[in-house]
Amino acid sequence: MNNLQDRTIVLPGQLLGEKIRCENNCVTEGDKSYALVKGLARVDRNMVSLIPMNGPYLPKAGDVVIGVIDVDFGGIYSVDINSAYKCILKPMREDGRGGGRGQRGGRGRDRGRDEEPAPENLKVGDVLSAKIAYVDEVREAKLTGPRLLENGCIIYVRPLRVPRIIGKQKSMINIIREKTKSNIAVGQNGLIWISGGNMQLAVDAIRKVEAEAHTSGLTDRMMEFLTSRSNV
Amino acid sequence: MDGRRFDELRPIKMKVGVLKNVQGSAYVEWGKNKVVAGVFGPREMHPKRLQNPTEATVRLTYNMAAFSVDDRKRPGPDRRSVEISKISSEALTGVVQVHHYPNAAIDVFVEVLQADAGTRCVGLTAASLALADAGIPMKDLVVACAAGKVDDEVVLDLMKEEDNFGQCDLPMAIVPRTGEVVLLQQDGKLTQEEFNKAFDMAYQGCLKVYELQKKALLNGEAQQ
Amino acid sequence: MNIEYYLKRDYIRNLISQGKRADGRGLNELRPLTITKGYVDDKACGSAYVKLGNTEVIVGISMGVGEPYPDSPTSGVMSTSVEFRPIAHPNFEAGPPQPESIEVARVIDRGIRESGSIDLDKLFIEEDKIWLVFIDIHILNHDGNLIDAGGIASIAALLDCRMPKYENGRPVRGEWAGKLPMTCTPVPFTFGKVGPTIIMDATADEEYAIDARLTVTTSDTLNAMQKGGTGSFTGDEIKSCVEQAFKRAPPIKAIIEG
Repeated sequence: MNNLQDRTIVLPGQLLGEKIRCENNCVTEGDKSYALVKGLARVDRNMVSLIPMNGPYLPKAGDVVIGVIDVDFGGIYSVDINSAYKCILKPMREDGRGGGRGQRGGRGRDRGRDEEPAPENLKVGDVLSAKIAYVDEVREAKLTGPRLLENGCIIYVRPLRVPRIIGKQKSMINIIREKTKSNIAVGQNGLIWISGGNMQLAVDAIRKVEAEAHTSGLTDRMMEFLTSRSNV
Repeated sequence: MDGRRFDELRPIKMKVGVLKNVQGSAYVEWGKNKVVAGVFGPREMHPKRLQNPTEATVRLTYNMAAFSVDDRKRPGPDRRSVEISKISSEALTGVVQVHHYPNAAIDVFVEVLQADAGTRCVGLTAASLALADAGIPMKDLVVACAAGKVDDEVVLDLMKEEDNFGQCDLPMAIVPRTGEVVLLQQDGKLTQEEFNKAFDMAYQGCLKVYELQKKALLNGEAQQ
Repeated sequence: MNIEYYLKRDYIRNLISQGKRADGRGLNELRPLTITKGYVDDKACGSAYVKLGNTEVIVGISMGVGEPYPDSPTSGVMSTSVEFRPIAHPNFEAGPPQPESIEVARVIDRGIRESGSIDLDKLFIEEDKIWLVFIDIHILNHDGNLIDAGGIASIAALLDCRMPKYENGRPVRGEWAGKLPMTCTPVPFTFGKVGPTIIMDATADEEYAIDARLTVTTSDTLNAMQKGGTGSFTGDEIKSCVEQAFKRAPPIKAIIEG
């Protein structure tokens, strides 16, 4: 039972309801469930799910992230993804061997891509995108399928805005790609790589989506914004 | 001393999200106090040997600017700042869901730009806003307020002159939802009866400030 | 997170080599500057909050009574310090001042001291007693050019500064007797060299790309200069920077004094 309206903004400690099921970012004490963060509460009968307004990125299996190699342990690399938690990359060698552990938690249909040989000569300072194969109990992530990203620039957005920047079925990011003719790689960890094309417009567009993520009609506004700026 | 009722708070203004390079931040003016708080984290914890594999470590660092007080304070932590940092960190640790982030550090920095008694309470109140702004999970906000005794009268929220000539200072921080007291200090002379009165007064003061915190988080700013 | 250095340097260098900057400014264009004097006027004798683009700095002036230096027994004493507060940038750590922050403090100090802007001779009280002027610069948000932002804020705070009342051998807190005697308004400009190009008012990102920097502080004369960074400047570049500094000072001076 709960009296919370759908789409209410809740604060930490706020009562979400009694005897309800709450998914994440909340804590249940006895019958009562309370919010743990400031966020948007989506209420559907007895289920409440809380979309946080802000928060850190936590590595999750299946996520594509962008990071920088910060330590080379001789063939095994530590990748900084701007999170509290480290990522390790153990590239496969050409003959398919190397990399001790198998892929736990990876999806079957991605196996072909995950076993692609890594680019040679990775070094400290290289920027790459990679997929998180799995995350262990202290939140350390193992990366796979690295792709080197050269040139271009990287901007940082709040990780929680990334889904809006990508859009439903990549709709938003594809509009931006099309209108700016830039290569854009989006990491779930909030790092976005942009190269070529109208980079300044791409940066401005992404920042605009980030700032207005919670508003409606954004897709149309972005279309207008990009069209007017790209024809100049 | 400033025309307030004995149980009246000083004017308070709060603003959330004021700094750009931190994950969350807040600025609070409380009486003549001006305090800003910023949060980084969860982030990698250094030194590594202090990492706790079961939970994050909350570290609040309280610092007063050299120009925040009448007689210039030398920059750098003094013993008072170290003590305030410690008990404030402990107050927050009970409230932040630290088991979500093993091995990590959640760093809160409280900067006092202008001080006029009660800065540790203002700092902790601002820190709580900054943590909420950063999206760090907490079981509730933490709010702090002090009571004291001046001229044999128990009063709420001492200002500096009252603190200097006062007979007692009782700062307190609570978790409003559960009623837990997570910070408490007392110095001076109080009878048991006076203590009960002061405690209740500070507690009620906290609840009033809590309402303001909630407004500030929802609207970006609030004032009373 | 040192990730920043790797990510920004090449991109910024490329842009600047094409004469462009990430925020669309001209190579010699300054970011918007706002100054709020008396920001913390209850305890500090003088103060100013400065926003230069996204860089935010607050300066407080505290005054006390102390002994003069033996070689200038009737002059007041000034001292400048800078705190890189951790909230200003994730790379700033709490702790004793690092060489970077000490250099910023000393460069700002030099401009103020060498121009004689504080009239130290008027700070004599009586035998063995002079006024001490403490300039404390608190960096709240770092987005580049801390020297110029800090320097501008310091001068603004000094112009805002009131003299404490002096009675019975001690300053009376909370009561004032006039303003701190100032003679001129020194203005710093920091030039950064990226490859062969020189830019003014670098952002934090641009500072990753800078090989060398030159700070030039002028009032009606050239008062202080400092070259920093591992790169180098040619003689002509330096002369041209000095010329720029003199030319660009008046409008900034007007904002500071305003």
